[in-house]
This record gives sequence, C-alpha cells and structure tokens, in this order.
Amino acid sequence: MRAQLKSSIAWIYAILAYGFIFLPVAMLALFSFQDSRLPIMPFNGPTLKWYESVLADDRLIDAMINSLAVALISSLLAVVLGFLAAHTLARKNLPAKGFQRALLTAPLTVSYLIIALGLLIMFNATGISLSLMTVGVGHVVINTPLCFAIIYSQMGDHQINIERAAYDLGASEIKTLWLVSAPIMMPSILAAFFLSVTFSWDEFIIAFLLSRFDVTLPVEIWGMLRSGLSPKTNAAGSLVFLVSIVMMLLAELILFRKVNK
Amino acid sequence: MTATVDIRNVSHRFGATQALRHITLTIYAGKYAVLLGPSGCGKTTLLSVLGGFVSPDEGRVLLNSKDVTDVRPAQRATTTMFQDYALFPHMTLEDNVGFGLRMRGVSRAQRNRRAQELLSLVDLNDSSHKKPHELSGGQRQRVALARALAVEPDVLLLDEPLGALDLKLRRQMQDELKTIQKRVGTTFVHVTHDQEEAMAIADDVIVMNAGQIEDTGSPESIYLKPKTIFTATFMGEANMISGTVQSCDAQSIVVNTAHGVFDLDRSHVGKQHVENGAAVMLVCRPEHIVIGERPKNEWVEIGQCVAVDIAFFGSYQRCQLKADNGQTLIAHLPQDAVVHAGQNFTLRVNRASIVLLGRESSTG
Repeated sequence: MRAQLKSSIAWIYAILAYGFIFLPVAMLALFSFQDSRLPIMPFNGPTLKWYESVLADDRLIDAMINSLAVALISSLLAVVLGFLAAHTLARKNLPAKGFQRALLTAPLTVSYLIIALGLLIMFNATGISLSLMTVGVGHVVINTPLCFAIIYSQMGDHQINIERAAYDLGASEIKTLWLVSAPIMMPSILAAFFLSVTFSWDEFIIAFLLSRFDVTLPVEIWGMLRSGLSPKTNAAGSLVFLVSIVMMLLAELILFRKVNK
Repeated sequence: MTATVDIRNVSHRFGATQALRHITLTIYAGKYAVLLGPSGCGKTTLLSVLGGFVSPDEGRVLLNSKDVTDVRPAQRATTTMFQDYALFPHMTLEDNVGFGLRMRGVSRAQRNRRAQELLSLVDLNDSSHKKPHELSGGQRQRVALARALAVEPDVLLLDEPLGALDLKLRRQMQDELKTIQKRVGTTFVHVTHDQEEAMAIADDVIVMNAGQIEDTGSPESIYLKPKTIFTATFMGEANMISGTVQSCDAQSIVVNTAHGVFDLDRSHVGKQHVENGAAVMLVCRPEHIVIGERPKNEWVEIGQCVAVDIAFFGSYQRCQLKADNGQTLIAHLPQDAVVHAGQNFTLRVNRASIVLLGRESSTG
C-alpha cells in the first residue's frame, strides 16, 4: 500500500514537473493550428492556414534566411576559435593555464544583455553600423566559450602520441591539426557546432540590440507580437522551436555515438 | 637505409630528476640494439632524445657522423613507433601507412602501392581498407611498424613496442620484429624492461640504471660476463656470494667466502685489476650449479646444502637450498634429477662460469 502511494506520488510529481516545462511549448504549438483569429481557448481546428501564411510572408522568410545565415556563419567561426583555443591550451605549455581557461569560459556566466550593451557601445564608438554582421559578432562572443568548453573537455592525453606520430612522419603543425587532431575531435566539434547553431538561431536580446534594417527571426516575431496575438505568431514560433529541436537532436546523437564507440 | 647512431656525453634533467647522466654510446648501422633497464632508468628519455622529442641539456646526437641534436623529429632520419601504437583512428590502414609519404608529396597511386608492399611485409595486405579499431592488438602493432618503415628511416625507434601484448603474442612478435629488421637492414633501437625480450631479440644489449649505462654487449656477454653487480642481478637469476681476495698471482685468484675458499683461474676472470684484501662479489648462475661428483680441476665445491623447496619449471627444476652457513642458494637442476625437500647435497659450481666483480662497482 505504502509503496503504491509512494510511486503514485512520484508519478504525479513527474507529470507536474514535465507539464511545467513543456506545457507552454505544447500550448504554443497547439494554437498554431487554431482555426480562428485568436490563439485562445477554446481550440477550434485543426488547420494549417497559419503555416501557409507564415511561408507566404516574405518578411518572415527573409528573417528566417537571415537567422540561418547568422547561425551557421557565427557558429562556424565560434567552433574554429573554440577548437584552436582548446587544442593550444591542452597541448602547449602556456603561462597561467588555469587562469586562461577561466578567462575563456567566463563569458558563459555573463548575461547576454550585458554582452549586447558592451558590444553596442563599442560599435558606436568605432563607427561600425549595426547589421547582421554585428549580430553575428555578438553570437561568436557568446558561443566561442561554449565551443571551447565542450571541445576542451574531450581533449584527452591519449591523442598526444597520435599527434606526435604525425609530426614524426613529417607533418607540419597546421597539417597535423587539419589531418589528424580535428578529425579525431570531430564528434565534439560537431556537437559544439550544432549547439552553437541552436543558441544563435533563437537568440533574441543580442539580435535585437545589434541589428537595424535586416533582422533575425526572433526579432521579427517580436515585431509581430506588438500588433497583438495571432495564431500566425504561434506558427512561426513553432517552426523556430522545431529547428532548435532538430539541431539539439543532431548534437545529442553525435555525442552519444561517440560515447558508445 | 640505415645509419650509425652516436650519442656523445648526453645529460638531461627533468626538474629535480637527473634522467640521463653523461651517456656516451655508439650503435652501429644495421644492428638491433635494445635499451634495457627498470622503469625510471632513463631508457625512454634516451629514446626521446634520439627521436628529437626531447632536446638534451648537454651532449650531442649524431646520425652517420652528422650532428642532428637540433633537428626536429620531422626532419630527422628517425621514426618512432609509440608504445600505444598511435595509429590515426579515422584513417584506413592504407592511409595510415601512406601518411609519411603523403607529407613528402608522393602521389596517391604511388603511396598506395608502397603501403600495399609494407602491409604485405607485415602480413596485413588483405586489410588495407580496414580501420585501426577493427584490428587486434598484435595487428595494430604491425600497422605501426609498417607505417614507421614506409618513410624508409635510417633508424627506427621502438618504445616498449610489445608491452601491451600477451606473452604468447609477444614471443611471436619478437621473432617477427627481428626477421623484419634483418630484411630491411634499418638500425632498430628498442626500449624494454623485459630482459628475456632483450636477449631474444638484440644484437647489442645496453643495460641502463639510474640514468647511466651499466653494461653493453651481446646478450651472451651481458648474461655470462656481466660487468656490474646490477647487470648480474637484473639479467636473470644469480647467486651473489661476497668474499675477500686472499691471494692473487698471474695464474690464479683465491677468494675467501662464507661458502669456503674459491680458487679461480685468472684467465676466466678477465683483465680486471685485483689486489689482495679487495672486497669482491662472485656471481654464480643457478644453471652452473650441480649436485654430485665432478672433477676437482673444473668444479669448485660450495659445501653441504639442504634442499628447502623444489619447483618444476618445465625445462629445469628450480631448487632453493640452504647452505650450512645459513645462506640461501638457487640451483637449476636438470629436468630428470631426482630431488626432494630435506635432502642433503654437496654442491659444485663450474669454475670457468664464476664471474668476479669488485663490490664497489655496485651502483644499483
């Protein structure tokens, strides 16, 4: 009896906890299929007309392409910088190694708002006008520490002799990095990349403060919200969420495969 | 491709540890040399100095009389075979073996042909498109050898190459390494702490201890005529009998020990300087000790002993004996000898086999 009670409490707790986390997203997704003007109870539908209107909206499609470009390019840069930093810190004799590692990961703890404001002041001072490029710079700033941390944690000593063997057989340092070190680290490099892409894809504050005419998808959706609630906003939000989930799954799959090897 | 290696007065220090002390050594072209010693004796450091991964604090390294002390590993005519094989996990065997040639700008067709040649040298020609994780330990070892030989080094450096293999495979790989070395003619320098492996494989054994060279020579001379107490005890079992020189002349040396008086022939002892009253150590290998009657001119009597323990080792019986004076001796008796614990024997040792060492020569 007691055991049964215990286990039903545990079940109720688990359902509440998952509900708390996922109900908002589920509601968002549900009301993107709403067959009326407002995404509020009761639910009528389902219909795909809002998705149709999202895909027919040039501004939203442009924003989506902008987001994708910013995410891919800034993540590529972040992962390259993160990998180089991780490799150097793991392999070379640098002064104050622990301190340098802390410096590289510190931005992870700084609020995006602070980073965005700092960059905004700097861009203003240097006369660089705001654009998708400045958004990308912001995303490199937030994602490089993440890429560094992921790749550094997977940098094992067992690879040292493999790299030495490459030098010994005549490879230069750059060739060893490109032909040996990076391919060996590829699972963590890809995981870091996909995680960066998700972070950049739905990032709002930096994208909002550092862009002007061309904007990314979260900023565009925010613009839509200002003219009131609509199931169309829900549809756009659901699409953003779907892409994030796919990216996360890719990162997870790649890391998981590596662990099982 | 082969080269003579000259190491001149090399010293190296890691922090507080003196890893190498004034090492001077020549390894002749085409030889299979083994650096042998306990862990921490400096043998791996010496190998790293030869490979160019460690630049020594002092001293020079010459390959075919050319000073290479400051030459980077990539530019040196040496290749290293690492203890953990260090194969490139993401490349096929063909690409692993061809990697060195790729770095030298050799075309793909040519380096694949060469990789195929080397893989057949190590009996892996059917696996050229496999990846390292599909292979067993022994096979990985062979790929590492093929990869190192593909660039035709003058000197191949092997760092405990057989350490990760089980005993049977180790013996088999020893034979293979030696056969391949004779076939390609490259100078091999092989590091190990296993004295049996050293004896099985080496043309020249270099015994190291505490950053210094204790002894060099063929396996026979190292085993039968060790130059130091360390070598005598490190290379197989030995009964060490300490004594004092009672008298010596041009023909004979008489040593007083706890096991009685040993009358040694000068010609067996070698050219070393011996004087009256000197503290010495006599080395008797267990297989040179016999039970039963033997002619007096060739055999020295050690006296009465009682057998304490007998173990059957296959090709011999290892017998632990206690002498009248309380000291323990080890004898390897023939397989068919009839002995049992508690039995009394008169032991004799072959006069010519006894090695006399100065006791101050001990460094271990």
